[in-house]
Amino acid sequence: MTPTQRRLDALFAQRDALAPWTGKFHRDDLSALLAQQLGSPAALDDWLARGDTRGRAFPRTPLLHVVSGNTPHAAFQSVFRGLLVGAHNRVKLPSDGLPEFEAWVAQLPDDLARLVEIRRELPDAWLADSAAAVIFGNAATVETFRRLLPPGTPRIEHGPKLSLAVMFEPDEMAAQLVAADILAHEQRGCLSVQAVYVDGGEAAARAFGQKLADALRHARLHTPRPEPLTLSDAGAIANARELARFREANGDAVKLWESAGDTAWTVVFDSHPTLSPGPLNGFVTVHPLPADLPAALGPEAAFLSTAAIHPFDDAFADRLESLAIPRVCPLGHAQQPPLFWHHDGRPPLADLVTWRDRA
Amino acid sequence: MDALRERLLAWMNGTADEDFGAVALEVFALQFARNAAYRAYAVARGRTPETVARWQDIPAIPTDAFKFPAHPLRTFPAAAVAKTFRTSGTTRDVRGRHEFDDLSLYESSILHGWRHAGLPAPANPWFLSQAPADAPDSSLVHMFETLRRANAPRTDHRWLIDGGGNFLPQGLRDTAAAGEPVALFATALALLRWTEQQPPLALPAGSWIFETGGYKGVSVELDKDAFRARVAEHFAVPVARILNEYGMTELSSPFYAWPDEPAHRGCPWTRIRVIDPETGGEAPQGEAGYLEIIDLANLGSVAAIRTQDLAIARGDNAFTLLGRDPGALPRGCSRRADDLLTRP
Repeated sequence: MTPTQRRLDALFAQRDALAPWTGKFHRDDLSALLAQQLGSPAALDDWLARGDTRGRAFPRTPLLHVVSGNTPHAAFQSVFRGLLVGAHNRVKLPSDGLPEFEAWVAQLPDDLARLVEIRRELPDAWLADSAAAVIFGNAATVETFRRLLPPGTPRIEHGPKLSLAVMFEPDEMAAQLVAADILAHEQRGCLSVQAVYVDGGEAAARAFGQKLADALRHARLHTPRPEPLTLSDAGAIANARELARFREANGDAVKLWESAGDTAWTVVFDSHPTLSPGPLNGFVTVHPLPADLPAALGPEAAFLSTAAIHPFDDAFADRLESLAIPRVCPLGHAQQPPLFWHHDGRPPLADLVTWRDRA
Repeated sequence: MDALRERLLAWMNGTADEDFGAVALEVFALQFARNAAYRAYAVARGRTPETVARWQDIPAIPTDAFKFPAHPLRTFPAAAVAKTFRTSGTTRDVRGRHEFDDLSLYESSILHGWRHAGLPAPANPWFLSQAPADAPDSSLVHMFETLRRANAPRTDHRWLIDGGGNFLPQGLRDTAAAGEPVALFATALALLRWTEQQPPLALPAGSWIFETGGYKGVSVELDKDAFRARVAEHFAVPVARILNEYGMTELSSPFYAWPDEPAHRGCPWTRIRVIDPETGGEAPQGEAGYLEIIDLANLGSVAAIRTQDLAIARGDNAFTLLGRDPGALPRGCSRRADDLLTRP
């Protein structure tokens, strides 16, 4: 049995613990992922014929992961990939920790545990001699690590992103599905839907806003916030609401729906199509789907990660092609990317290896 | 409106006294009647002169509402606009507009607010900012000029940043060499840049510094104490002699705090309240929330302003400032000076 096969067995044994963060997978899926990204499941173990040479992949190791605290997904997925290629993984956690991830690491068997180190404070040595760094976080975090890491250290950066949903058939089922995409992880991930675009013009979008408000109200009854918001988070929602109220009151094509007495959920219909990051935590804007998408959505379109569409159909997905969004998925699945996805358009395993040739 | 303005001016200059609550309701009624954009918002909040019986219930407008030229927040027609102050911002930002038909209340509030706060008269002022001609839409520069005209009318050429954003240090150096105590007015950001780019300059004994605004977004990270220590060392001025001003383009009346004071203090024609953003109600006494200010000197626009700063109430018109809401988009007076400064 090769070292890679042993790691795959060990990871497969973790499938139940990993499933909430990576999706469900079989042992064969792991081999297939290596084959798809590296050309062969044996690429890390053997010198394999590649055209007129023989090549072998080697993990960039030790591999530094800088993960954010908004959701544990990034930590799980990034370290899962590092383990797949056999790297030694150094994980810089948020300063207040990442309980689900830390609990998982604590129960790992020795053969995987020896490949994972976690710290809440960043040791200087990790900066100095890591072979590559995978960085998740806001723009300031990404910029900080550009400065901190030695110039030659490869960086795989996953900076701030946002996601949207597009309703080609804006029915009540769509409202329920997109409510799930909005509220999952309190909307704090890069895959969280922050804006909904509705095909069919202003009236259709406004009508969908009402449906979505009903769906969010209903969803919050069953899944209330896990913990109270900070003052700043609640304040950002309150400020955005008051601004919407001001515009609506003054005749702009804006309509505000909001939870009463708290900030649990908010829907703002805005006929203007510009995409803007919102205050998160259950706040979404609804717009008519414009014709000239890149120009109408504006500069934030460059930061799109995922578009969840309804119905999920290539013909509808093709209508969004001008935005070049890295991922289009079915509504209700925005927060569950598939195992084989190209994270932010990148080959996630291929980024983690280098190649040596023997010719 | 003119009669109410005259009463407010008389209150400010001390020739008459007024009851804040009563005047605030009059100001609200006037602004509700004449400021269409504010009236629409107030109605949407369910607040009208018929339903508001105390100043605490006057609806506050968010500062971002000043960024919609289609919905001007003024009580007078466009033709009567005599002065417009704009919020600072980069080219991608939308800048807020605070319009005035008359600056008498604005200037009177600055000058009499200064007296109420018991601040030292700036007989020898220097301004680490552009001159009024170079920054005609800056409310802060207008404040500086108002103070200069009132306290040192014969001074001139006291502006230490030129129209291109370069420091002009020689005049201040000459004054320092002559040994005359100085009042140095600046944004925190401009002070920071000065200390980065200029050699230390020991100001004569008795000098003091007025600083305002934040400095987030710059490459250095300093807490307030470290910032003051750095400025104090650079200018050889005691930390205790660095006055902080809290103000904004959307307000007419400033609030002040010396470093040893626990709260920023406002003048009698202002009130503050601190709001729990989750419920929209007032935060419990002693707890943090969003700062709202009722400034009756804002007669021509909106008196009740919702800021994006977190604070703890310390009485009717005093608060402990906790700082800018990190969730809010960056803004502040300091950005103007920073944007214009030429980097070395």
